[in-house]
Amino acid sequence: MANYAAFQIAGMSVENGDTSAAGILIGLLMWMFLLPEGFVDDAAGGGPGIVCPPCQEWGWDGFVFRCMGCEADCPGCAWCDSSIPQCKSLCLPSECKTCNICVNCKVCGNDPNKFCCSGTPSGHCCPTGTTCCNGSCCDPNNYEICKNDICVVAKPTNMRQTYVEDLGNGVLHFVYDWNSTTGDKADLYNCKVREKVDYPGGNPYYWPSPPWAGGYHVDNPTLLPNPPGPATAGHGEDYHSPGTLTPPYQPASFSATQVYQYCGPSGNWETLLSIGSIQRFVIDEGGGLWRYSIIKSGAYAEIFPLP
Amino acid sequence: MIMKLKQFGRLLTMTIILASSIDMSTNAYAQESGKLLEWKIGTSKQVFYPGEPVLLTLNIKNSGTQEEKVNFGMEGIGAFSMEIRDSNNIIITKGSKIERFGFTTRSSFLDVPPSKIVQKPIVLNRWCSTLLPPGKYHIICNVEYRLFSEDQKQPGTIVFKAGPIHRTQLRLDIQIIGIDGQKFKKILETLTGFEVKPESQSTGEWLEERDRAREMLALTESELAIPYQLQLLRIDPDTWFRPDAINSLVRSGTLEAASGLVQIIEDPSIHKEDAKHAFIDGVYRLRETGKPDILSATNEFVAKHKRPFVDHPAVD
Repeated sequence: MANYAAFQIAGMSVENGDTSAAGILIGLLMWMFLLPEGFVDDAAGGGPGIVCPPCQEWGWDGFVFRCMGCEADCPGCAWCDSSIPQCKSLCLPSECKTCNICVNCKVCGNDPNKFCCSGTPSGHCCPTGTTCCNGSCCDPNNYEICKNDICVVAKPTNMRQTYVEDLGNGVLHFVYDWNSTTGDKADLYNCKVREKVDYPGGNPYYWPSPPWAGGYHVDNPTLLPNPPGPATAGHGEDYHSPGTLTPPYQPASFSATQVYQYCGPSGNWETLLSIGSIQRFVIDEGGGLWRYSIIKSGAYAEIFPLP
Repeated sequence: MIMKLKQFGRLLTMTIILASSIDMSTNAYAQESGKLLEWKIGTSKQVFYPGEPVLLTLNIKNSGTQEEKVNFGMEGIGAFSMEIRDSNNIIITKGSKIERFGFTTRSSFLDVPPSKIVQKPIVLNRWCSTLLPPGKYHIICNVEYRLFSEDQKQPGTIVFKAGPIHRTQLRLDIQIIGIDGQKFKKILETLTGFEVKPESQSTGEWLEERDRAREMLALTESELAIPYQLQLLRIDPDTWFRPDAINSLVRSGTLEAASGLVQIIEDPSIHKEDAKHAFIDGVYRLRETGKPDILSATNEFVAKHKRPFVDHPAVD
């Protein structure tokens, strides 16, 4: 692995105006003999006077084994170089283009709320919470992802019903698909989807009893699945239950309002598909016969006669 | 020369027999008479540790000429019920069909093109615990599925009437052996390795594999899995497998699980607003063990956090 410490100390000599081979040699000797204790990294733009402690916690960051505890253990310190077994002072470049002297520079322009984002032709500062995308900052709160080195908006769109079936016993089963604004559902990794069903009245909502069993209730609103599902599926299904019906029956009906939603890291839920009402009825058909029925999106299922 | 040919023939026969027996040891077959789907169940290995997640893979072959779409019910798992029997064929543990009404992003369907074999993976531990004494066990997997091609459109409506339920039973033998902590940890580390996307893999493929690994990790029944389950909840508190991971932690009944959940709840850097109740409830459920170390370690926590009202309402 390239030894960035040698590069950096050689760089110190260059910055100090000593561009001779002897200067570089001195730098290399310094690296060999002086590095192990409290290395002050002023040359890389590090906070003057910050002496960072040896690394306390090593771990895997993706495929890179590095010091994990620098920032937490010592504000102003960060891991810059896998060849140095200790934290280093952060690069504090006035502009990110100088960050390359410290390959893993974490702070941009002295602003702890920004980080250095390298790219073509030159990098700049990105606010914390965004992702660096070839010199641009993608804001996940605006559903932006980095795709082919460009920030693009990746949201679910065009949710539509593709199938509905009556499974018997009063159960309706709906199937939906949706797309991604990028054309690739895998890009929706920042998005979740769910249903929101609002019932009349308070929370919880007790289905009318009778005919439904006493205490049979739902969250109001009902938010499912919990946790919300990944939008990358590009596919959703909804099973509507008849609930628990127990004799003696009595005529009853109620209506709920359903919407399918998506959300990104901002936590704001937005409408993906508005369904409207889900209506349920229990009707006396005479002669001691009772019928349960459910209607949603023009689809119908029933139990007749109720047992 | 003739002898050599005979010897070669014997060798070939032996090889075929051995190969067949090896194959049969990890796979079991079932074929419905008159049906065009051939079912086979297998695992990647035959020997497991107690509590290890067992990934069952259904291989479904379509011998017909038309594509078939198999409906496995709610969340694609509603069709299954499981049993584990001991070597005397006595039922040791049983898992009923899982029914989950409401909205889900999990598909009920599996497309099986003609003349193709399609795989459906399911994790046995969702139905049955593998926390079993060492020995040989029979896994019985009951499948009650429908075929899309048998749905019939109801005249004058957009609604299809679901076709009949088909039933098949698949069997498979596994062996549980004594725990080897180091090897068990290695299995768990392999599963956590799926958190990192390989450069060469598409995001869609990676997410599918990562979620399968997460499900296996979340359903692992071992104290050795606690750090990994906690780590999963830390990096993605909204993971689909959060309830499974919390349930496994609660079942462990350990101080490590209780302390880990407390740390997650109290760590402001972990965004978990929607999940906070589930985590707090997990701590309270662990306190129900009555273990003094858990109680004393969480006394301060429960003074700060009231037990949330965790309801189990019906869904719509």
